[in-house]
Amino acid sequence: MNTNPAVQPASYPAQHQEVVEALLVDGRFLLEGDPAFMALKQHLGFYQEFFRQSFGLALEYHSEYAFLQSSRDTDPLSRDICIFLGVLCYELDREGYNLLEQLSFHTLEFEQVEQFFELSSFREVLEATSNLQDAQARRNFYNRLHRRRIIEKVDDQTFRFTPAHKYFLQFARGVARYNQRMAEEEE
Amino acid sequence: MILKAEPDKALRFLEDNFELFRGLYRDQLEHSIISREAFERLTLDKADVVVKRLLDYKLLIAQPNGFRINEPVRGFLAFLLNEYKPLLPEELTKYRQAFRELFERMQDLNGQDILILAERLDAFYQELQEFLEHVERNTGQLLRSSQHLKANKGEMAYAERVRQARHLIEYYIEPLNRILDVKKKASIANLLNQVSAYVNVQRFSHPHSGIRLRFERLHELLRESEGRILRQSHVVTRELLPLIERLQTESEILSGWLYFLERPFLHEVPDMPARRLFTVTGSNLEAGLHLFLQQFERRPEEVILKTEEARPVNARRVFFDRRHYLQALQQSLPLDNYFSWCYQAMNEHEEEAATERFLRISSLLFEESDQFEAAFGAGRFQIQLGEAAFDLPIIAVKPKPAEAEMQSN
Repeated sequence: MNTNPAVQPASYPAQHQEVVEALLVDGRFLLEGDPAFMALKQHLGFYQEFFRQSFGLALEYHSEYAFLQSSRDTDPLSRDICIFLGVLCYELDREGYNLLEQLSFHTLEFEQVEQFFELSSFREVLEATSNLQDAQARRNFYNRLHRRRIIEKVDDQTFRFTPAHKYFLQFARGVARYNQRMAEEEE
Repeated sequence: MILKAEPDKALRFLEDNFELFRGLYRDQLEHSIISREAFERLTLDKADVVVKRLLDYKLLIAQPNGFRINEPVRGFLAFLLNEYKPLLPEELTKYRQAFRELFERMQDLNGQDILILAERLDAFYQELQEFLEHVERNTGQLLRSSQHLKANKGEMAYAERVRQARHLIEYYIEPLNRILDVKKKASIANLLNQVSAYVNVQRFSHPHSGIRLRFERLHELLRESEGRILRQSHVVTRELLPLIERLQTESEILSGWLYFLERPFLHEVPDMPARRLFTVTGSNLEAGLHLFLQQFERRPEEVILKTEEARPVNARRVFFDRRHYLQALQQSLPLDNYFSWCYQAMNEHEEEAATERFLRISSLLFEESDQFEAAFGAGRFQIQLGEAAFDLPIIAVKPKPAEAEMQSN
């Protein structure tokens, strides 16, 4: 890719602006079903190169979602999401729900989730997390999740998780496996 | 053989003490043998005669290191309670050996020794029945223990659940699947298929009618077993494996979250996409700017509204006092220059000189023309009032003679 745009104008895929705005400007997940996701999929090699060359960012592409890695050391939103999902998963499991099914295929009610959080045994962790500490803060947090396409609001009362949530579940599995390995090594 | 009681009496004894047998059965299921301590514990509130009869009726057999329930009774209890230990697939593969051996012998002896062939066919029938029962019991039991694990009734830690799920898959479910999978050459299902083909021919072609009958019976069972094995195989692939895999994934996720939540603010977090706000470019810049400016557009409007409301309160509107000017005019008569007088009178009486006021005063002469007599003089003169300049004729005014006469009279 050493073509000089001043000499020879590069041609971009049809949805180029949408792809760049979603991934770079809005910093959100592109999801399967978005027209821009299709464009990304068809020109995957181009975009991986494009984001790496132009911004030094790695494009993370999975079959159901894609996003640009921020290359920041710590991301407070990412931490908040992990705490949110961790507590939610724990509470759903405790209530006897089929966890994966619930997250992948069902809608959840804000009110129900709020109740989980109000009664959660992870009270201390939640109180120490400013974006999750009370109902008002969580309302803003839900809006941010919606903007980043991690959840999709169905209406004022209900929402569902988009495939992007799997990225965080994968992270949790990684943590478990790592710890398991460590435990086995100790033995 | 029970020597010390009639069979029905022994059965009644079992019925009367069923809870005790349930306890004994479960203990043996778990530990393979009922230890003396466990036996003491379970029979603590039982009369000595009950303990004695357990042994006398040979329902329980003493062993060097404890007790065992007599095998036929154990089978019966297992059937009644529907609680089994899942068989290790290794225990099931012994059937493959038996089937193969019997099948080979069947073919060897074809038509030579009718008696042993009949016995072998009967044995095959028996073994097949047993095998099917074991398989069905096994999948049922595995399904139950997976569901139990899923519901987490034992309240075990997630990591332990993962370990158990993995254990079930590795040592029970996948090997069972290999046994039941018809497509695999080494599977029992595949062997039974071969037997079935042979038996299908023999049930018509064998010269001996008794043997044909046995082949017929075996053929029926084999056909039935095909369906039963297929059903079990479906249970394994469609229910058991997905269930246990989901359980493993879920437990892994949950245990991962628990590790994370132990130190949520120190643990590393996954890399997330970040928003990047570019200041100049972007399709929504114009709209954003517009919105930004709108807030300033509104403010002056609000101020105007307020002053408008305030104005009627502050403004003093002085009404035209017609009567005052009329009296003043009458007293000042006669006049040489009417408009000049109007201007002076207005300045004396009004706080602000205004065109409108001036015109109204000047119109007095024409409105009350029956009282006054006016005559144009020579020349003109100018008055500057605000922005208006009036070029006016000089008019002399005096009272009408009729009135003057009346006044004088």
